[in-house]
Amino acid sequence: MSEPPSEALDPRKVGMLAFLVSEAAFFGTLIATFLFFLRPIRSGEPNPRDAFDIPLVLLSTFCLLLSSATIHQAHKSLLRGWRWAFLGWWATTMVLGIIFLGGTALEWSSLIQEKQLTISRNLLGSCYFTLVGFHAAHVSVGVVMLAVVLLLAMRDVVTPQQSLGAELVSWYWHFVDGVWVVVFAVVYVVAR
Amino acid sequence: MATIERESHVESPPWPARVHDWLTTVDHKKLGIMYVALAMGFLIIGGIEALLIRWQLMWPESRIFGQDTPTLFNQLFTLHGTTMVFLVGMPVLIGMANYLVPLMIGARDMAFPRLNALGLWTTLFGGLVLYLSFLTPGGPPAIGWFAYAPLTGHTFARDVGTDLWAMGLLVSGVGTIGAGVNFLATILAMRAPGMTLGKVPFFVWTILWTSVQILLAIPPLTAALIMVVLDRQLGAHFFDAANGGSPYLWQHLFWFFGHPEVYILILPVFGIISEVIPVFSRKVLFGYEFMAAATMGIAFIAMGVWAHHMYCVGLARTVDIYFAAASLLVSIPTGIKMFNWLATMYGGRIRFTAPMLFAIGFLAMFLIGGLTGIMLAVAPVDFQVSDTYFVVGHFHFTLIGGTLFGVFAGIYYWYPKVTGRMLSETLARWQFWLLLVGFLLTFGPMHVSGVLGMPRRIYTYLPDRGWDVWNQISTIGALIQAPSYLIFVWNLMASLRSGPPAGDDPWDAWTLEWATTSPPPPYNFEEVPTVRSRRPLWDFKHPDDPDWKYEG
Amino acid sequence: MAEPSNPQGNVELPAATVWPLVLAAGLALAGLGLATSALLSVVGLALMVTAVVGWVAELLPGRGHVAVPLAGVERRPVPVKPLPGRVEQLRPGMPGHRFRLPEKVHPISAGIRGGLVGGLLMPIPALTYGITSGHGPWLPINLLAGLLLPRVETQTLAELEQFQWTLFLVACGIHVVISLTIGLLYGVLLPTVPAFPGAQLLAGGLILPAMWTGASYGLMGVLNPALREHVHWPWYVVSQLVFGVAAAIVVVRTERVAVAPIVGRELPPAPREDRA
Repeated sequence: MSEPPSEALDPRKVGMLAFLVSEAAFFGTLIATFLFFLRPIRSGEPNPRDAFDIPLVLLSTFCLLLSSATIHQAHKSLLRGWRWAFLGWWATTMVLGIIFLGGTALEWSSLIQEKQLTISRNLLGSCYFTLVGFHAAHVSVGVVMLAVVLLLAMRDVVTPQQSLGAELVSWYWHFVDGVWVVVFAVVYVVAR
Repeated sequence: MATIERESHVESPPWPARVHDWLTTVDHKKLGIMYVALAMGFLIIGGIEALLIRWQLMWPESRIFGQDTPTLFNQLFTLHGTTMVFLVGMPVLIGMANYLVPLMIGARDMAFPRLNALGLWTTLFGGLVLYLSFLTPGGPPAIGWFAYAPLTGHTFARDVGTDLWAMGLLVSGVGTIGAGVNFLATILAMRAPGMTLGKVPFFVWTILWTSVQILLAIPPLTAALIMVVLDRQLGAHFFDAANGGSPYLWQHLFWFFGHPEVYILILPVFGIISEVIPVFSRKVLFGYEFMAAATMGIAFIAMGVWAHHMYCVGLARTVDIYFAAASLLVSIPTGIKMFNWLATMYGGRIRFTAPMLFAIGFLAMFLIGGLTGIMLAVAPVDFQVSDTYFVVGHFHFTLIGGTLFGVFAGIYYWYPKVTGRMLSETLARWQFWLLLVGFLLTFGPMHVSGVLGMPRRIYTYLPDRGWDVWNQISTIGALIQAPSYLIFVWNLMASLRSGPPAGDDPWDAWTLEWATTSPPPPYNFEEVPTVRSRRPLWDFKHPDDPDWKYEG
Repeated sequence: MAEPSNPQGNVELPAATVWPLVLAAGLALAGLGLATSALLSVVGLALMVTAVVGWVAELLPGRGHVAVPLAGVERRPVPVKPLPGRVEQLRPGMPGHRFRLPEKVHPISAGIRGGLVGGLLMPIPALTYGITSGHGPWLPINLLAGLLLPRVETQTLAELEQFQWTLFLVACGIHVVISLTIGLLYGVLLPTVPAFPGAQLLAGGLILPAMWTGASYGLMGVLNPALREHVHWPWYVVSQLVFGVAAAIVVVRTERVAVAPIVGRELPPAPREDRA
């Protein structure tokens, strides 16, 4: 009847989950907006079928999905006390994240300079740059957090006993990857 | 000996040290007090705006500000609405929850004390960003609190005031989301030993569901505000109909936030009332489980009723019917609550002190607001009175008659805990009756002028419409209300020094916050008590007849 | 996190910090800058970065917390005083019991009879008005039907003075229903009026009719202002008072019957009351 309820839950984990729920609501709104404006685009305007460079996007998507696996490995290694494996997988995750951001940068520069698609060109531009831009911003924040954890780990502050910070960062990272799967499906598949 | 030591404690450090202390604090109690103080400050500002609005409407064809009256009137009602919702309603409730939730569940602080401080300061700075618009050449925004496109478009609002409005709400929204995260983590993971989720004080339960709504409703507003800013600053086309954008999308997004928002403003008040009525009726809360389920029900239904604010844009017939039916559903859990409060009072030994007076005022006034809400949920009625003063009357009955009366009940109830002093009962009675009479006179006649066809947000009207007398009664009511707020603020400040000492438990109450000193020490509880029922203090006071024998 | 105080009598609490304030200020400045000048945004961003670095540093283990000493003994909470014994329920006769229900009420038939008598007498002043004013007996009846039927207010006065079958039937229906309803309400309400002599007559004969007359005057102004023009209000008031007085007398004069006792029963233990 009076079992202690508090021990099972860590407030920091609950807090991170709650934050991710609010992030999901945020991206849900942007995605819903994207879908709301899916409609034929006047000929001559940049449209989803011609504008997007699918091979490049597939490559960066692959990197981001792979990074979810590597951060999972990193966390497992951390819990087992394999310091170097942890550092290695963690750094790999970071590099993959940076490659993804590079891919986005390439994509944007080609869109803006070659296809003349900007945020103010038409509704596709408004929706696309807002949605993908906010996702990229979240990846960037994730990369910074990865870097902070890496720095702290090299100073032995992140240890198997103090692994919660690393775990929460990995949750955030998985979430950002999951959002990308939806964004990819909506922007590059459904919109075509 | 003890007296000498007490006096040495009273001697406070010099003021710069004290200011520094308040600016850098992460103590949930100090942050809670600052939240409430912030809200009171903005309440006075928003109230002055309301008085100016009422004064302008007192006589037909008046122009109290001369040539600028139409613009200034638009700016006033925009600021009044935005201020009251974002800078008074939410901060005062978040502040009270901040102060009380850890104390009620036997925690030392909130889960994330620094995030808590961030929330307070973003709310304050968000408000300042909004009010900085007074210093800009174009003045404050003139777009209404729900800022329908295309009014926010660059074509119609060329001045920077609209940008500051969006920025202010974005900044304060960050703090609100932080508060939601914080409450969830605190309530779910930091309760005293033995306090299962089914045994939390009812106020805590309502804050739990308010937080869920914050997490689901504020981010869509954030996203929508970002779109407004992108439209205005970078030339995006989200709400720009000329280029394929959709003003209609803004209405959907805003009300997807806006409707849960009104429950964010009322659910915590249901919690306050559910704490006050049992203590002042000397009975347990009737039907706790049903009340808890009703709270959840309201929180869920509230996410699916937003388009009842949009009947008049011409939704599809099926959509109208769905949203009307869903909105009417809300009346079921709300009705359950009403009846349970009455059943709690029924046969109780009621003490008519200030908190109970305001709680009863809440029951009566909120009931009226709820009933006109049911009328408005019916689409054909809404077609007739949408955007008239009937709507204005309706939501002021829920926000003043509901939220504000409940907040006053809560402040009269917990002020002794926060300060260690009792508030003056005499002043409380003056405040109550002036507020009640003034409030009824202000907002009752609005239903009539609304049915007579007076649209909201018009800066003046012609004398031959039959609206004059109703507007005059409203304005007189506002003038009667005004001193009640001053009496309240005066009571708060004067009692701080001269109120009679409260002791730990002046109301003979039953929740954990009354087990510690008034005011509580920074760490709240020396030792965290073990809880066995919903009324832990009852169990301590009546060891031979404890509640846990009766609770399932 | 509810850790118990340590042996030295200290409690670990998070230390005061300025970084949340700085971060919020930075955020607001950055936002302000987006709307006004980019320079402000740069300053805001710099503040934000500084604040985040400082904040993260405080999250490191071993930092960001201080030990707060326990308050002096005289400033600790007064221990709760346990009261021995079971807690009794509040019952009639105990001090603080403020539960007042009429122990005897009028039977339902009293309300019906009151309504009928009132309803039979009320037409007298109404028809008197019609005849003495020269409009004829049908005007008040037709106006009453106009409460329910649409477009009555568009008829001319001459038309309204004529006998019309539909209007007559509708008016009779309205009259019977309203009379009976109010009569029944009298049966329920009058016993709750404070028991001084004449109070029930005062309430039923004057106060209640005055209230609904006022309400119908106001409502008719909103719902059907054209109809209100035709009503002769002094006579209207008189007929309401006649109804009220008649119905009240009939109701008050009936024998009251005792209600089944609902207090004093053994209640289940859940709704407990404090008699401590």
